[in-house]
Amino acid sequence: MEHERMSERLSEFVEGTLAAQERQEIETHLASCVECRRDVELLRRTLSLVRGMPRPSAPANFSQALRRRARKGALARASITRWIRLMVPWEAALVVLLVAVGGLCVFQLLTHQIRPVERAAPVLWVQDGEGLRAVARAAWEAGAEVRLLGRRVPPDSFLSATELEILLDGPAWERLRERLLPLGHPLPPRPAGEGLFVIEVKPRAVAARPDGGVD
Amino acid sequence: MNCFEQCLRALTWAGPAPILFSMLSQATSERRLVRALQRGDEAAFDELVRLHQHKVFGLCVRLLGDRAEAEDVAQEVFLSVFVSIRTFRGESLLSTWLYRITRNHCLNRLKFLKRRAFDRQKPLAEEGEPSPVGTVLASASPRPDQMAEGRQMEVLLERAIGELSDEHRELVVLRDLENLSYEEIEVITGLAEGTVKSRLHRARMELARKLSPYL
Repeated sequence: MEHERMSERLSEFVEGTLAAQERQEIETHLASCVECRRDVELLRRTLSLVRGMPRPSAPANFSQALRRRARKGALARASITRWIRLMVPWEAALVVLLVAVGGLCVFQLLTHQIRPVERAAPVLWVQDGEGLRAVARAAWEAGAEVRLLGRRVPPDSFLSATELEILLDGPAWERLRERLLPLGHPLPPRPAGEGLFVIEVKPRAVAARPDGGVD
Repeated sequence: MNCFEQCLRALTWAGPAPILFSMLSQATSERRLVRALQRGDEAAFDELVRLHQHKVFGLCVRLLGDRAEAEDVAQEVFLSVFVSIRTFRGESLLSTWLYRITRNHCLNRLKFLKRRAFDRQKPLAEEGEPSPVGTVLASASPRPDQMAEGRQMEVLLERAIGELSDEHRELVVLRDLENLSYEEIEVITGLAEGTVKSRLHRARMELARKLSPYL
């Protein structure tokens, strides 16, 4: 262990960068360690050789070659800048405009196909949490999507008494209407128009409504 | 360590007055050169190249082991200095900053050369093994003229340095060939003092063992 610690410092010992006390410790160790004495000698010879190596000089034309390369780079940069300056007023602006309009059209098309416009629909008031769960069950059976705080709730999840949203299309509206009628929650006829509708479901315990039913 | 700290150190150590005067004057002229470079003064760039081309080129040759690659990288270093001199805040010596940029460019070039060697299905040096450049250098037989000139030991030494791993080679080069202080090496490599010292010791021992048959 002591030998390992000492041998790690041999380089600094040879360089002469150790403090006096550390130097003394190494010298004491060297007196009894043949291996370290051999390494010290090897390091001394190696360092003496390495430090005597001449530094390679740069080629005589280094600075001229560098100037040529810098000028070439500057010319290339200047021509790119000039091209941009020439292009920007007309062609580049036109390209940007076309890309923007095209992108907008594609976006509209995709969003319309994926998700039709959601229409705000009435609020459905229920008595309590049990009523809310009954309405949610009916919605799932009718093939509608039930949302809690904007997130889809998987069918048959347990719901505590809070506000819900039901997202549904026209046929699902009709099915839900049929299912809610025997439960005492009359749903008005489907509003005109295509697309998806959103029905808010609120228990009276949260916000009472005087006449009951649908707003 | 910046110029001011160097001067302060010289004062603390009560160095001879001419040395102190020379350091102060060097620091002043370096500040002036940096200001001129940051203004985009072309003459200042010429001066920078004149002052540092051999250092930068020498470091590139020693890290890459190939004069043609070294010349290319050294030119890249000066071109990138021209662009980034505005970011130099004078927290270290200009030469240290240059060394740092040079070292980073060389490491990037070595990575590129390794990738290219891999793409061409050449044997790829693994981490910790000699780089392809080093391998080429190591396997190259000394030219007859070199041998005839009595440069055998120098050639053997270059070959042994070329056989070191990239991380060992850079420390031997920076400390023993470029004669930089440990503080400068820490700034250039971003390594902690302890890591620099222990890694350098291992690198020197590896080099010494390679050279031992000839010492």
